[in-house]
Amino acid sequence: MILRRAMGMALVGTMLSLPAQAQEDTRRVASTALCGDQLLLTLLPPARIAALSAQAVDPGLSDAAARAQGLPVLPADAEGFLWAGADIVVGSDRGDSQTLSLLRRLGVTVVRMPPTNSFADAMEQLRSVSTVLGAAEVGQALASDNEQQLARLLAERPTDPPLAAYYRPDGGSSGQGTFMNEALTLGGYRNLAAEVGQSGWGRLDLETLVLHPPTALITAYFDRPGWSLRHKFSHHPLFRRLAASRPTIALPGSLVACSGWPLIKGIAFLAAARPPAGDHHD
Amino acid sequence: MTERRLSLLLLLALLALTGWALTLGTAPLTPSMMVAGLLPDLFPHDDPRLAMVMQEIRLPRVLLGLVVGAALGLAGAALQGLLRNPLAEPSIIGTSACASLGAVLAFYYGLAADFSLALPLAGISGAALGTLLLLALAGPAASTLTLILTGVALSSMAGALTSLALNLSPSPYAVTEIVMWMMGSLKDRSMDDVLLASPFVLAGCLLLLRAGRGLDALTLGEEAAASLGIALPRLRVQVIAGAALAVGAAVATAGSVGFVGLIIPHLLRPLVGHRPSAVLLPSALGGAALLTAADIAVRLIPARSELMLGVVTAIIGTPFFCTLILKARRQA
Repeated sequence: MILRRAMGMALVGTMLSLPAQAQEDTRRVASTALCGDQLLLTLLPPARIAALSAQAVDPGLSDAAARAQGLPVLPADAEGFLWAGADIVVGSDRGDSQTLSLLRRLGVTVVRMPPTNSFADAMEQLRSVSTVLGAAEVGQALASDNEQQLARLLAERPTDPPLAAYYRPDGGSSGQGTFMNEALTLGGYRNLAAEVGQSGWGRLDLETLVLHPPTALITAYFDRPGWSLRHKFSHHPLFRRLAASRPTIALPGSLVACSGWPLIKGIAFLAAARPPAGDHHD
Repeated sequence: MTERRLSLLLLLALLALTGWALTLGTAPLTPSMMVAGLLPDLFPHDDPRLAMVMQEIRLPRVLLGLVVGAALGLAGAALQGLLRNPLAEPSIIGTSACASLGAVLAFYYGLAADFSLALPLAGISGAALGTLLLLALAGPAASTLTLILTGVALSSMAGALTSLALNLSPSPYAVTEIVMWMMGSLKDRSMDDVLLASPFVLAGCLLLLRAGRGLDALTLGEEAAASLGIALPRLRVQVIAGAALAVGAAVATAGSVGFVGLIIPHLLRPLVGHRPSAVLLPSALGGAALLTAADIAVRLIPARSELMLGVVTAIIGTPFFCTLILKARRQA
């Protein structure tokens, strides 16, 4: 509860500091991908947002979907961005390469945000990108606030963290070096995929799950519609039995779809849902 | 119909399509704004974005479509003549797959993000390496069968390595970008891409157009062609090098666009007779027209995100092809 209130206060704080920025900087910014969308919606007043990507309004992926309502959504297309009057375009480090290169040629400032894999890197990116966008103060405030929230969460972290297995519907997990591993660790869990020596976004197979029964299962995107083939893993009878016999935490995909902001919300969600540690045997 | 007459008709169609393609885009421009954007000296306009949209976004896209389409159509016609196989298409000699692989590697290592010409340059390098490998493996005296088999082997190998890159890809965004790129597109290409691809395509097309006499002789059989004074090994190297130059540069800048090289010669051959040399120039023009038409369709078909060019050429191409098959069946 305290935590939720603290997050609410932080949001109010960022909202209050917005008008001051708007007077100084009128450059308009567009985004070609989800992570940029959420950053724009968090850092900039609506008048400065020239265009967002289609994912921005998807509440299952974007934590800022509500704020995206009514703002222009454009496909990644150089002509569209130019016509929408974008002075700056924020994109992912992979994807839309041709569009972003062409925009750069046409004199538009292009910011490519690579995914960050640690909380510290995410905060550094938040600070640097917000400076480029002319929203340095809001970005600084948000980053400091996130860091303070994290410090509070870490103070409550148990000495004996529960073992958790993280799953996407296709059986994919997240080992060492991923921001999900960071979220799990900072949220007060031991990450099974990392403990069995996996790194990157590989699969955590059922046999490993049986051999190392975790205290809790953490699932994300299991509620996404239309991913039929990918859902196959999540319908495996053995997986369903293992999931039914232990706490299963459904982590909203919108909190962890991007590695930067709003990762802190994902960490807070995980910490709030954390079951007590304890060996689990089937 | 004579070759000259058909070429003239195709040229007219091409001009009309080119004009239409220039009017399409996300920016809502009136015809007078488009003219002002293309000819700012004659029709001054105070919005600097007009010239940018027309000259640096729409014009390169249309020009690249012409260059790529001509390369694919001509290479298809020449290879069908050389291999005396109606199923031959530019990808059969493995160049397309090798050019794709080169570009995919540029994506994989993130070079495409750092430097905009990295992508076409990597594609052209892939195509060049693939072709050298093909010529080295098959040898200049290779039979048609050896050439096709070597091309298929090269294609499979490049395809496998492309899949490997997808398999090991570090980020899901990279996978999406690679997959989308492989379906072919002319979206948001710049004049740099046009200037990079054109010399290779032009050189390749000149080599192919000059092979007409040899290809005509080859229809009589290899021995008869040799007795007519055609140096077959030279003809093979000329056609393969020409196709590789043209198609490699095309794939490197626009991704893999299938079907154009296969169907265009088939569509035009009944109109000009079955002499391979008569199909060459019309195929270049027809390929350019088909690709431009497909790129128009890509932008007219309403979809959540722009359709990919290779998808549309296949969708447009298949019904045409099926009609041809039915017609051939009735005649047989």
